[in-house]
Amino acid sequence: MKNLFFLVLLPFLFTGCMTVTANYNPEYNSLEKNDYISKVNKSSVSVDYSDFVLKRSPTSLSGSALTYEIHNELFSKVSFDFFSQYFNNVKYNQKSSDYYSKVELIDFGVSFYSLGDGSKVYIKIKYSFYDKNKELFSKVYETTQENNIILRPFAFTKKESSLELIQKATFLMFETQIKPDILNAL
Amino acid sequence: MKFFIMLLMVIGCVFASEVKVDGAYSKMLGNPFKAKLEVKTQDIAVVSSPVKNLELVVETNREREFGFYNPTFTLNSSDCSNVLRTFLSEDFNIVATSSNSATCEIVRGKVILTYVREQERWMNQLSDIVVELTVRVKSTVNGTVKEFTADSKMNKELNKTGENYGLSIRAVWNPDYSNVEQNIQKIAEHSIYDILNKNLNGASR
Repeated sequence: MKNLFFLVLLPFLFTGCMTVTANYNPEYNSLEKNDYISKVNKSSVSVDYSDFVLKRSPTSLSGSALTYEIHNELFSKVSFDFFSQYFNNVKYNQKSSDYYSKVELIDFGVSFYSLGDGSKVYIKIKYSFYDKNKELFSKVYETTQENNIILRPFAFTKKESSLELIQKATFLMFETQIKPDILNAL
Repeated sequence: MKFFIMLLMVIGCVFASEVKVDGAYSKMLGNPFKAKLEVKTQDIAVVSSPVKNLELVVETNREREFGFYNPTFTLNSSDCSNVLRTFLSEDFNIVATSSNSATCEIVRGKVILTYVREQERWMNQLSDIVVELTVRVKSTVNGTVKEFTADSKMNKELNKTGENYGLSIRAVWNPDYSNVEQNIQKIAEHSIYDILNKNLNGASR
């Protein structure tokens, strides 16, 4: 009877309950980043660095036992990467800079493919851009990205590719959605 | 007929394919923030150096044998000024009659081709292309003369390293259809732009 009890309990012991933290990794967007642009020297940009955590679980059946946590720090660092492509003077939390950029994570979601090793990511952020202390614009942006991975050898879980996707999607959002709005506001 | 085919083969062997450095790739490196935030106050004239055909040294990982010859590439040494023009137009107004001037010349170049199959001489699939360039630049801005010669070495990934989902097999496929000449052009323009950015940056101040 005791053995039967353990046998019933066994599947629940291997559900894979754990917390996954999406940390910033410079390798994830270094291929998309362009280092060869002739940069702006006369103006400086400051990036807001505030840290808070948001937690969500994947909405798909597989991986629903996982808990994803994203620190807002990730978005500050990606926006730093974005601005350092175009500006020489980019710093964190410097009020004396000419322009000030602020990102706040509102919501995110992760889901896994039922077939294949791919994942889908949804990110919603609030972005504000200031000229000294005057707010130039503030807007909510959202993006959905898939990585279309069929097979990933030597990876035991699907979570690694999703972490890479979160950062890539954010960088892409800066390049395609936020950059035109900043240029319009300037 | 036999003679005609022979003639075609001889022509094919003698003429090297030309790499055109016309600034098509360097034009994409413009900074939109610079165009918005900085006002161009100074003029400059870009002077083309004398036209000289430069033969690139080609190295491969394959031994020369019957049926395989190293491909040959030539480059116009004064084409460097096309990249110089796009670089300088970020900071200056390009005016031909200006007292400020700049000129650029490619001194020597080398291409290293890495074939996927070293032995199979009929399969010309490349895994990497490395371009080494030596560039001489001379600029005169507000009476200050700056002259330098710089080298660069750049690979197909434009010297970038990073991850693209590791070893994954993806449903989306982005094949690169550009040929060897276009790849060499892309690498050459990026490396000239990089040299100018490192050495000539702040020429306007």
